[in-house]
Amino acid sequence: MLTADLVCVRRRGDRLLVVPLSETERVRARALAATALSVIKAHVGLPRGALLEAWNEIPVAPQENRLARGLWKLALDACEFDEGGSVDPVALRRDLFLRAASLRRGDGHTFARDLLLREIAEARQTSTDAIEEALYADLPSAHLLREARMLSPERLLESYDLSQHQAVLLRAVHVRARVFCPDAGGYRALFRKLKFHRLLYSIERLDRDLGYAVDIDGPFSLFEQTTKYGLRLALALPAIMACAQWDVTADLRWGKDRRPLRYHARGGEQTPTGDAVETALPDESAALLADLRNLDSPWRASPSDAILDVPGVGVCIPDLQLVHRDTGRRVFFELLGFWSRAAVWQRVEMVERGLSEPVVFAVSKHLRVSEEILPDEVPASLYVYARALSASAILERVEKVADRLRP
Amino acid sequence: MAPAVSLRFVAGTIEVLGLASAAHLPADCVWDERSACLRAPACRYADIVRALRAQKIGYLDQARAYQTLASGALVHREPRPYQREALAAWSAAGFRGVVVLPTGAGKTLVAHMAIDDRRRSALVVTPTLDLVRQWHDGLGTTFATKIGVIGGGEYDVQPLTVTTYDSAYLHMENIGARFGLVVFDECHHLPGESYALGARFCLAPFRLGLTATPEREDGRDPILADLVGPISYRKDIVELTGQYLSDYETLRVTVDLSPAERDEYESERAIYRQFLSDYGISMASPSGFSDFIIRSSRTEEGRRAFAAYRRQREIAFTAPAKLDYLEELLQQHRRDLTIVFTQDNATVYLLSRRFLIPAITHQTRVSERTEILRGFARGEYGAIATSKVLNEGVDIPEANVAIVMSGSGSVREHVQRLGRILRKGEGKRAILYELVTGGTSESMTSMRRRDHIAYR
Repeated sequence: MLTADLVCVRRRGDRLLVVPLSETERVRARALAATALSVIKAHVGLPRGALLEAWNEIPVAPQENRLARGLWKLALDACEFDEGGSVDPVALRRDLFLRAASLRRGDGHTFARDLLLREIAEARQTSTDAIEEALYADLPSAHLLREARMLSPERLLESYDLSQHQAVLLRAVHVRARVFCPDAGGYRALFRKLKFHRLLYSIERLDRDLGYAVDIDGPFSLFEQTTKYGLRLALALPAIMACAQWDVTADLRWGKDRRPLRYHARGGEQTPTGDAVETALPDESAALLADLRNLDSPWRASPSDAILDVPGVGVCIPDLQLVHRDTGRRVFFELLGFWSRAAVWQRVEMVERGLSEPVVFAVSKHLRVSEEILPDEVPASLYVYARALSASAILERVEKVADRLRP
Repeated sequence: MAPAVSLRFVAGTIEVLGLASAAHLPADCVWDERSACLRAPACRYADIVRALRAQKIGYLDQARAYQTLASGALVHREPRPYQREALAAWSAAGFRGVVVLPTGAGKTLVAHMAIDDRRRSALVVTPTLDLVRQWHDGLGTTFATKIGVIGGGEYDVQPLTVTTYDSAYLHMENIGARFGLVVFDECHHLPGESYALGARFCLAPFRLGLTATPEREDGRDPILADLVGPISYRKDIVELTGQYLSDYETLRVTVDLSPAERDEYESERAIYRQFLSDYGISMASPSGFSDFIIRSSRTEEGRRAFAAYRRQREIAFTAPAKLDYLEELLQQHRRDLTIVFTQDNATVYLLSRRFLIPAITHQTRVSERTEILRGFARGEYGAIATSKVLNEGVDIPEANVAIVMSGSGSVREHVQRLGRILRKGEGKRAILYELVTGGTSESMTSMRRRDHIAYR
């Protein structure tokens, strides 16, 4: 990832803008990326210091300096280095420095560097030049380039484009993301990522079914505007960008004086339409949806785009919603499948803490949980299935849950 | 029946579950919509517990994860009177506060006594890996138990654990509930923005700060009172010299540049100064250096100015006459133990290669540092070269000569370097040499760093 000092940005009032590469700059950036990668290829087996020096020799106009250093940084991240040479530098230094200290202490002796180097070189059957070279061969600048992950200039540029946005978020104290996903999977991936990075969020449904606004920061953000969570926000960004439509507004503390600035980015091309939702359903849910529609039932099944949030416990993101033709009652369906027993206990806790909507959870019998762990009176039901999901068994439970909602 | 209220430690904060109102709780315990509970910084744990007890509200404490130590210190060294007074003053201040003692006066023993007194799981936070190693060995000897280490590639949490400020910032979210006492060594580092967060993420009710120099140039030292407690005890260097610290002298040696070096120095300096003048950059202002870096990276002229800045510094720092004089000093003090200090790592490696003496920088691995410092303490090495990593705390009782080849204008750094050679020894007299290249910016830097009572 780029560091914040390598990102190409411009300030406009209280806003920070990432400056995207123009067409001309992109052509030049591609050439720089190709040069950087060819220098890497030519330096396999040579020290890191030599690689960095070779990059420094590439003619770069002053205005391209930051772009070039950014590309070098990302290219360097893809390199792997080893300590080279057959001589153990630590042991060599020990021998040499102990002997030097002993000579220096001795009465009547004058410490002579060249003589000592020759003595050590002879004892090791090598040259004094080899000794000089091996003396600090373990410093990072002396490490030898073993290999670079195969990168193309295009791939390096893609990585640069993403990393520009991530590097800005390193200085973020809060992120508000507006996301739309055509299927539960996209939202699940996003919230799983937020949970993995131990970020906290609050969720708000946007008007006209245009998705959700998610406010993201960390536990301590309540007390202090801290950039402590910046790296985690940056690492969560690809999950936001994977949504079909997204935009991000971040509050930053930028520069040495930590000036409060605001940053905005947006992307994604899919518009939120019903067709997109249906085509994005995973196979198992899509098959179930077809089965439910084939049954003669007052319940109309469709993909769900709801996020049911229980603060302090987590989110439940149902796959389908079933709406009763006559009463308009709505019951959700979430497929937990083989996922994890912990996820099942979390759903039980959500129900106990007042899950806002009725839900039928489907769990594989391989998870070894009993349907009885949810009591009869709550507006939720557990469906444990053996091999395949049964549409009629699910409808039975949907009916029961709906009955419990009746006043 | 289990109490309705419970406390949890979550990522450096305390969650209070089962209470809808923060009335009578500390002011920064507030309602968090995201988790539907009250939340406070972990450092408010003791205040929350006291408030709940005062209101006779029963609670289930799932936050506290620290232990009472099965046994205390097995080795009891006789404290000096001022060490005993320091512990008493810290105890009287509610087991929170900063003890200020000069380098070499035995702050570590005060911490060992505090851990023995409180008998709670304790975390010691230090600025460098060298100090982690030193505390690790010292605690191991005193408490005869396995000591945990976090940092330098290790992650082993034990009831007594040592870590660095950097690792504390990274890991306190996970380990902040596991210690009842936290000791901040060289605690003048703590008020920095990131490091302060490490202290806030920790719920330890008992807190001890140790330093010789609590004052900071950025004026953030008052934050220490909130993070650790107020200064509970203080003794300055001149109060302890002679009886408890070695006698010492400081010698400032000025060397000259050759005419050719002088010409090069002046011409490079002129290029650099001209650039500063053209762009109105004042290096004396707090943002001066970063302004220079930013400006100089934008143009060819700027890059030339930056190269000139580096070259003129290099000429002053490593003037051939300085290196020759160092050779003479190393010969003169060949039966002493000498630490050579420099401003940058490049000079450390230059000295190491030229004089064939061990180097210690942040790049030196812990195992090699340990071996070098042990060899030095045993007298197998007569001199070591280092930049800033040995400025603080590292205990080398036998060292009696310090040679400052180059350094910053920081008074604290200079006092700390002097402190490395002041630990009391039988008949010991310490000498600090400061080598300064005359007629260069180093002369002014030297004047700035000597502005302390220890150099008068």
